[in-house]
Amino acid sequence: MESDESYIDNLIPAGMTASTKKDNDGIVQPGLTITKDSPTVSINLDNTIVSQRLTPSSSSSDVLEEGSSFMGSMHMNPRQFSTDNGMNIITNDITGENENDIDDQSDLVDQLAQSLYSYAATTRNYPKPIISNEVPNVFQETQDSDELNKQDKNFFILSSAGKPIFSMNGEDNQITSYMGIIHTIVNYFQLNNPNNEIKTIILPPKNQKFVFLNKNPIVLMVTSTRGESVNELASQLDFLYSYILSSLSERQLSRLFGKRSNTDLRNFLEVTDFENLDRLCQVITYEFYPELILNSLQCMMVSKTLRNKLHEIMSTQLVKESKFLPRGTLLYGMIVSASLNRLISLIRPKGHSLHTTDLQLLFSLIQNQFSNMNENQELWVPICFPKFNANGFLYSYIKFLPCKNYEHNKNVLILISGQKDSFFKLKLFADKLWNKIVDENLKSKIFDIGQGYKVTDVPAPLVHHFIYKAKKYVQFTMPDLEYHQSEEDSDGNPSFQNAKFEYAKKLRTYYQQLHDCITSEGGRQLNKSILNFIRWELKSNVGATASFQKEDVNLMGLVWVTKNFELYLICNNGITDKNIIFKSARKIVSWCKKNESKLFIQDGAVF
Amino acid sequence: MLQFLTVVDPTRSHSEDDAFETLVLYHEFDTKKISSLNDKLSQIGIIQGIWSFTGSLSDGSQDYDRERVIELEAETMVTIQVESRFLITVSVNKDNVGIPYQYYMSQLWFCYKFFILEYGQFSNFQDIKELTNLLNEQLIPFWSDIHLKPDTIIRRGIESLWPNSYKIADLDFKYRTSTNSDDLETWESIIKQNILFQEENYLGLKDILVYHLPTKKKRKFGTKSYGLVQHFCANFENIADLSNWVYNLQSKYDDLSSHVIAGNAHYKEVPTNLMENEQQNQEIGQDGDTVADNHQPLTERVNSGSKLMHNLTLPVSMAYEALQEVGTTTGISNSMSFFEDYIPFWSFNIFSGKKNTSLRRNENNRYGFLISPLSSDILPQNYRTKKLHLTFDGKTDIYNSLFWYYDDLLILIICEKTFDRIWDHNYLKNIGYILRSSMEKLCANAFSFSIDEDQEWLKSNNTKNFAYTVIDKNSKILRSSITPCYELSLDSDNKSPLELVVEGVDELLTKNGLSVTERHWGLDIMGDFLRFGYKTEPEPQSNMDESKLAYKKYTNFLDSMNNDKLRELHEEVLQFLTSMQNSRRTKEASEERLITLGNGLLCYLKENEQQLVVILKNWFFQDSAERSNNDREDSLFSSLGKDVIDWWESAQ
Repeated sequence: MESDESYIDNLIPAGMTASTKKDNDGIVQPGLTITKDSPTVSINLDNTIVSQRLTPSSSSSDVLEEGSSFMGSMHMNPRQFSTDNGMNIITNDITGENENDIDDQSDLVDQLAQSLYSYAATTRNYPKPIISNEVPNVFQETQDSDELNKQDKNFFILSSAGKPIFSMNGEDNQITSYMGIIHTIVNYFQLNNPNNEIKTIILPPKNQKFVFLNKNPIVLMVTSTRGESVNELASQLDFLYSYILSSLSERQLSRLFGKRSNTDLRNFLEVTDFENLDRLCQVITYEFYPELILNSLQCMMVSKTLRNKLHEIMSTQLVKESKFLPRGTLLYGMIVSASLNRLISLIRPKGHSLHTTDLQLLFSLIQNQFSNMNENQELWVPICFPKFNANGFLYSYIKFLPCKNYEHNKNVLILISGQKDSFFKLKLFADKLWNKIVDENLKSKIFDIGQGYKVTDVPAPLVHHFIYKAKKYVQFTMPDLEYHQSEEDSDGNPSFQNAKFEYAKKLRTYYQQLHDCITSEGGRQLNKSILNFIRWELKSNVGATASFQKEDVNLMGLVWVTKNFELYLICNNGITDKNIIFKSARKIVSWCKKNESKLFIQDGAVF
Repeated sequence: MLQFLTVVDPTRSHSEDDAFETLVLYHEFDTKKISSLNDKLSQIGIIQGIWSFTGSLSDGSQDYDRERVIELEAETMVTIQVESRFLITVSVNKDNVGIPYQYYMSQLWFCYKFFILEYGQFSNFQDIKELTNLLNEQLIPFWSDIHLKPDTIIRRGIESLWPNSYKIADLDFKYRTSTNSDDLETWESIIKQNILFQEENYLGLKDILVYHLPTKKKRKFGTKSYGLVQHFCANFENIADLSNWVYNLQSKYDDLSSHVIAGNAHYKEVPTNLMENEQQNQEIGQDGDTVADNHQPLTERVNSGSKLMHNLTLPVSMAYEALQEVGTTTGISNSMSFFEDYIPFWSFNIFSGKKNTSLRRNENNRYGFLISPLSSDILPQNYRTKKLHLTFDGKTDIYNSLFWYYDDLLILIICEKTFDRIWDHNYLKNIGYILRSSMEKLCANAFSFSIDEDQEWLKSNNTKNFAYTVIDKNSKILRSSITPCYELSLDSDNKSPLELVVEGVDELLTKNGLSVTERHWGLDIMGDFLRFGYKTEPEPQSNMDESKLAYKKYTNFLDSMNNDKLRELHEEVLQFLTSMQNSRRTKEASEERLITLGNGLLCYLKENEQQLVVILKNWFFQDSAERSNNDREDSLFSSLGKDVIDWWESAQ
């Protein structure tokens, strides 16, 4: 197996290696391909490089394709062009083995032309281009402030008796009075008429919303000016509430508050619970987390044969071990990419599947709380899956799969049981399952899955990024975020995290807008079949006489909903022809359908 | 439906003991429910509490922070803050009517704006009791009418969602009849030269506003042609409020009559039991109340539970009242035959000017004053001049306004309160004459249709396949051709009560062969419903067609859509607009959306700093050649088709 790993070393893109070294924290964020650009004065000129990557068409055989490329933005300023001589140099610098020197103008033009067509077929002889990842921002920046009224979002969780439990922002002394008022408001309406509880308060001109969720004995409220719909905010509250349940269970909650209604729940929650709530709020508020808004899960892109093989091994192993593991002991089993929060394979009882919220909670728990575990450790964690059964706990056996050299690509085996004392049975099953996987030579393949795919792997020209949701499987897929490393980073400033964060945030806002335009405030989809385009336009204020010009924003997005799928798509800046976009959208849909078995877990192993 | 309406002034309370002082108005629409003072105070207390709580968690200037919508499980409370201290709240039950809160928000602004139009700002009142009395007179009827006929608030469609904007009529003056050289004088110049620039009027007459209004029989056609056609004073600042006031009256009471403008017409619930009804009528008769509806044909027709508008019966009741007065002084008995002499007649021939024979419209155009000093002295002051608080050049003052109509055109004459010429009947008659000749020209330009001249148009033009609403954010001008939805489909046994009353009056009038006496009360109703709806003597078919043909210039595909579908469409458009409003784009950025709806409609929305555009396009009738033309770049706007592009370019 070791020989496999040296082979895999070659698979890590050069860009990734370079930045990994540079990163102060030594952490490379999952799901992002890190590339480096030249220290150019142009705001607009993006030179991104990829040395090696898997092609989607050959993922099963792991054929590699070498190449490096760059792409200039569509709105390149000729003046910038001539002054920008660092472009080629950096290409050579990073790859070190660049065979496609771009020396003269004609090559450059050729490259630019190629960049317009991201068909794998047409670019086979060329370095595969990468789409510009410079998405301009047309949205208001969020404010950083300690004052509660200046913050654009805040979550409040309190008990029905008005005792504070948690708030995303604000010190205790700041929030206590707010909690009291929230308590009064909720109680007033509830006492007046139990069927007439408060749901929302809207401040229309400022577009600020206050959404309430009364889950006696817990009350949750969110305030936001970030433009989410009421339904979206309500589902965020429900997610937080589900987290509390997953930690305590509804039965335990009612027992605690049944004895004394003014119980301070903070005494019963662990420090990690608050950390996790904090983390969830951050994810919900600032990060790119389409899982919640789409109410679905993302799977790893895995070849059909590998996934089938895994499912087969899981099933046969379960049958084989039925003596030690009586039927009913194992409820669910799954292999998950912990670093990416994506499902690789799943075993489940016939006719039962876990709710996406439950799985989202489980994944985020693993990512937030257990990601520092090493492969020698195993966990036996009681978790309440609120959508499965809010009153009881299930027990999860969690084990990080052992594999050296894949520190940033952790995979986890999770086995879920309803029996409190079945740890050793599950451990035995897990060991045997893992051995079987190793025996079948699948170990390296599981870890080789690595990243997902890039938008350029999909034959859809001029598309910057997309999300495709298969309604039937309640799963979605999207290309990895191709992150463009900022200039400041080369000075040693720790701006990498910031810039990455900003990029993901931008995408998040665009997708939120796209999603919102097809759903009503109440969360109802506006039409069964709908095709929706959005175009954002922002003219640069800098005059032509300025030494450099900021690019005008002319960005288009598309939402396409049918009874089978939802497609959300963001185009490259400057593309405004709706027919071209729709053609690309159709190509994405047919590509996703063609690769359905790779992109989604269709059935899983069923027993 | 509506639960309660409150006006609160939180600054009036200084301690817990005088909390009741804050209550300026509290009205419950459900007459069976009587809340204690304590309940009322707790209700307004929580509203105030929510107001300041949400205010403390939100950042921004007061100007933007004047609205709250509190959504409960079964109720929605809509609150606005005016004059930095008064909170006006209306609470709506979430029943099957399901009108989105945005409409109530607009109405709340309207009710406030209309109040200050008539009486000035709340804070101007030193005596709070006086304010309470006026609010009782003004606000409660305003909302009671909505309570009884909730569909009236959606009758203006999405255009009413912007209470600060006003709709202007998008008239097409292309087809001018220039057969006569005298016709070089346009209708505007007639008004300007012969009225406004006349020395005698120059300082007295402030402005003349011309509105084209959707009278009941025509309202479903040619939405774009309705609105303010023209006004002449550039410094008129609250034109939006005044225009919305007119539109709101029109949409609420179908047709504008003297009573509607004077503020005397309101909807009234008819007791469900007919026996009770009769009994009550008798009692009312004894008490000398103004509701005199003891005409059998009328009451028999009223379905149980339906509502009666006594708008048009008011002339009758007025006459009845006056008659009683006369009767008591002269000793003549108030018999019905005498009574009928006092029924207001439709003033065809008040000013008998020569008829323009070139007009293709019906020659019996109706015109006359609705509100003017020509009205009988017996009538209240409101029937002679309407006093309005208007702002010119940043200065608010009380102005007298007179209302004149010509078919479905309404003219508002605003004059200084010191301008005494209006009390001279001959002067008014002269003004009426000039206005009529001007309006005839306007109609000839905008609404006439000559088959000979318009051959080309006839061939090329069919009903337009798109409809639009465009709001200019700076000038607050709104243009719209999106047909509003006029009725909510509620229970089937709720026949439109308005229809009933009009029929009843018609019969009353025709029974005696429209015996018109020379004496008239100066009361009138605008619109040409007699022409369109006269049952015993129907309009010749050809005339109808021509008249309709002229209107066809302003029709679009939505006009023929049925009510339920229109309503769905409006709801969808509102959702799209709400979602667009949710967008957090920067101020400078513009956003365009193109939505393909399942029913073959394209909805295009665009918003930027200057304007908001909504275009609905009928995709099915898109030219197939145009559709397949893929040579040019297909931007969101250009995909709407050539007709929309042409219209947009000409409108710019």
